[in-house]
Amino acid sequence: MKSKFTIEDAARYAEGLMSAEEQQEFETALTEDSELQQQLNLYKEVNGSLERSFTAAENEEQLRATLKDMRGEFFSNDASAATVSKPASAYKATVVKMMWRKVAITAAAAILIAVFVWQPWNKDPYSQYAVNEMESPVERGSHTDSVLVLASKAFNAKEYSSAATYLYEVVEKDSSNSFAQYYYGIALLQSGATEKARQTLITVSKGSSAFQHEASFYVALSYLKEKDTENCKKWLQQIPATSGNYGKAQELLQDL
Amino acid sequence: MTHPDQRYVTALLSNDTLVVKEIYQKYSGNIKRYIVANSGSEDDAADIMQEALIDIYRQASEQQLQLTCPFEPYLLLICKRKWLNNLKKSGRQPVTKELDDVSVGEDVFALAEQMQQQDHRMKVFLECFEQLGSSCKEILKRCLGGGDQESIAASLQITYGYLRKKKAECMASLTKNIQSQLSKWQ
Repeated sequence: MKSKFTIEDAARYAEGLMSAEEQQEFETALTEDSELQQQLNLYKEVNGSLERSFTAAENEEQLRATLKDMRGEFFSNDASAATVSKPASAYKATVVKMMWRKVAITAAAAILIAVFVWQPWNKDPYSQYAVNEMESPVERGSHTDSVLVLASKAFNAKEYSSAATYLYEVVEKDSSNSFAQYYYGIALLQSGATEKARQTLITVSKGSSAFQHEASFYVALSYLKEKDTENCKKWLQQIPATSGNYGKAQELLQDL
Repeated sequence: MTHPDQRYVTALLSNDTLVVKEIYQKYSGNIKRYIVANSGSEDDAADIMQEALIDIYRQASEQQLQLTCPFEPYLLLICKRKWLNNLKKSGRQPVTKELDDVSVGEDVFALAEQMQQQDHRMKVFLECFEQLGSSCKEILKRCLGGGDQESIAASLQITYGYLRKKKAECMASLTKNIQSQLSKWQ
């Protein structure tokens, strides 16, 4: 049962700032109010963790000094090792370095040519608009969160099919997770599973989550990818002016 | 049950030079071998070992790490993960896949996992702390930093009673922010 006590009261209780009478009332409420219990526990946890963290900082400096000493004793300094004990490998390293330089120059030239042929400034509209980063969840410890962290890593490394595999795991278990659904849709789209991507994104766009209109935008892009301008326009027009993608949507509409 | 190797953790906490030296004597060889075998230098190995020991120190001081497995595989696991991360960041690939090594027991992974989750929780705490107003930050930093509350109040030119009230208020809003931050991904 929710009592009248708030987190501010929990703080006053923990700090011993309540009158004896109020304290007793608080303790009675605490036995019945699980939310208040949680707040008080979190309060104590935060207090203790920060206390330890702030006091540990000073000792950490002292430990670092010790570790630095040990480092000198147990690890040899690389620079001297290379010239004194391993001249052959040092020579080899220079050769390798020079070869690398050659490779680097060739590669740079190749990239320059490729850029001129490819002309990224005339990118096709799909890839121009399909840029996105997946936010990484703050890990809370559940299995789902760890999977989402893996998913966002893969996603942001542009490894879309492995991102899709991770996200599928989440979505399959909890179809109401629109965050996962949304990025699952984009990952599918980017990895070429356009039809399946569109179905997923349409589902999100019909929901009422924060990703609703963002999803519509990507449904539009999925049509664009197939050069279906008609349907693309139709979806873009559905995006309201309040949505974050409205600007992009209007821009793309004009391009079309 | 706490493992007898907990004494190494305690040594890091108390900066016990002799036992820290023992850690280097016993374990630096393996760490060096692993990193050198995976396209690193001895210098890299020294860096990684040092960072890993600092990590363990922080886990011990902030999260009260209790070793439920031997110290060596735990230290090695942290070093390996750090090194693999480094390789990945610089776009290099590890030569061997020793992380799949069967000799690393379940208990080691479990402990690492548990500590990692707590590290994340701590990160949220500190991030929310940084978002507090400057006067709250100052008060909490000093009150939680172990100083004597009355002299803190005197140096801030406020009364002791006001300091305690203010500390509770700052902690309440911090806890509130942390609570909403943590529930975001529930």
